[in-house]
Amino acid sequence: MAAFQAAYAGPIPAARSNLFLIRRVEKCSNFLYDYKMRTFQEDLDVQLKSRILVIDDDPGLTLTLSAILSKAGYSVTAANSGREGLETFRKNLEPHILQVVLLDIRMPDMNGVEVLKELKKTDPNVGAIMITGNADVESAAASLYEGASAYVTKPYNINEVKFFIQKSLERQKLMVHNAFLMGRLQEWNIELEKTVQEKTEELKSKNIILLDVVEKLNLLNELKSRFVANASHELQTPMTSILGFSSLLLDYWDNLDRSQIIRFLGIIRDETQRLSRLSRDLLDLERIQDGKINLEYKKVNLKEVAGQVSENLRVVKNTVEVDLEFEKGAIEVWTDPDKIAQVFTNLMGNAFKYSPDNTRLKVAGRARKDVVVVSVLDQGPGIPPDKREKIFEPFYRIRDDVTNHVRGTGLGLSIAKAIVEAMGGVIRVEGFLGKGSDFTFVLPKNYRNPEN
Amino acid sequence: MEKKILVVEDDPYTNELISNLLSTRGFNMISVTTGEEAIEYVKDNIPDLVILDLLLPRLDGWEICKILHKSGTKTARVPILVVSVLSRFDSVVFGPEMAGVSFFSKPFEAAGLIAEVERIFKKTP
Repeated sequence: MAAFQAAYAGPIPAARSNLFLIRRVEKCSNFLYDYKMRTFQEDLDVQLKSRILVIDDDPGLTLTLSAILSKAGYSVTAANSGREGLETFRKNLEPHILQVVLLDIRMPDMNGVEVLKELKKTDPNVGAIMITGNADVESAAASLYEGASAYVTKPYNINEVKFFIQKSLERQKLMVHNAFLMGRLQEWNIELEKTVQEKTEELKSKNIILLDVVEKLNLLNELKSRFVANASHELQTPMTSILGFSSLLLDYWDNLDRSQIIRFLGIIRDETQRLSRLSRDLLDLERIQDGKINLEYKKVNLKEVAGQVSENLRVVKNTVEVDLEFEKGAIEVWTDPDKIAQVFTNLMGNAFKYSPDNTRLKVAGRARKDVVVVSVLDQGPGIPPDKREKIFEPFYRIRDDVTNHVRGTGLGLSIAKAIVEAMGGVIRVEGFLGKGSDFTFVLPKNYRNPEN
Repeated sequence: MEKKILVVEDDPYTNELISNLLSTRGFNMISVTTGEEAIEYVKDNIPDLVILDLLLPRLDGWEICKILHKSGTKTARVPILVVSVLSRFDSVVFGPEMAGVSFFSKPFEAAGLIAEVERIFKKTP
């Protein structure tokens, strides 16, 4: 008993017996794991072995019973005392062996009912058939409450014994089947739960992706709406001047003096030009951003382009001098001549606008590996660091007194950025607030060049 | 006595247009290009009408409306005519701070703006 407890130390008896049943089922069901349900019973039965244990202090009786039952095809073990019986029972305890114990009630060391209690503690499903003399019928009947399957009275009918053994084995088999089914059911439940959980996770992650896409689309949509609204406002401003001044001239011509008339007509002309520039720029930006323009790449001399742009701009404002400083390897680039000229015009045009009179503006080209780095440096007010990304957005203007009398379309930098990016380059602005801006773009030297 | 009209408009040509237009009708025009200048002006002067653009740098038209029409101030009862490219039907444009404010859309014809200004003066002599 002590040895046994040491070996099974740990779990409390009830839990241990449940574990035992589960182990028994596992061991059997391992073999049939992949079998279909309708065949499981036969397979389980093949795996299950039965064993009869006869416990009686009368050696003659155990011998007779053993002999009879062996002959009937059972595997029989005998024990001549309660303690010996318990030990044998525990030794034979195996998940795939169903044990039926034939138990004499009156024994000297431990009586049958005590032995039964111990047996039940070890395996609650054990089949026990009590053997009793006439005098003990009452305690035999009481043993049924302790979990005995049946009792027979001496002298017993061997067929009756066989019958009870059979019944007990059947009952144990049913218990095993039942446990097996429960186990499978639990497994399936777990599998099902796992599948549901996996699918839910999958849906969740897909949902997150979708939400992300929707959010991005919403953002794009919002940007587009804002762009359209801004474009409309920007178009309305010159139109206000054109409609207002022209109707003023028409309705109040006689009240106006000559200098006013000339001034108002001049404004109408300027604003019409601005409107035209604005609508052309809008279309340009849209087409460049959507990749709808064909860039015609050829060998272009950047220094010459910058020089030409500088000459054009100085016609309008000649109080600003331009220095062109191009390194030898930064002069020739494979690009679209018209579009790169537009980039120079927009960047240098801004630089001219914001340069105070009698200052110098520098356009520098440096060669770096496979790219050229072109910088346009002015001595204007510079751009605050927090505005440096925003100024490339359409219609973004730094609302400042300085820019108030500078009238552009608000699209120059957006267009320059779109062109540079279409040519495989990047553009950014640096510099120091109050000390001027540094607009720099980087272009690959041989973008889309068939010779490379 | 001729009416004083304060024009708050950051677009120089539009500002010039409104000032010239209403000068021909004998109004005394004061023009500024920022909200700050407008607030500075009303410290010592009370105009008879404020013509106000909405999209202004920093201090915008909505803020100026709130400041001018704050109860208890000298300008609380001065009529405001908002002249904007925005739509008057846009709830964002025409918020609660614009209660009691007249609205006129850009672009406009000379005679239209004059008629609107005269209508306001007839209502509030």
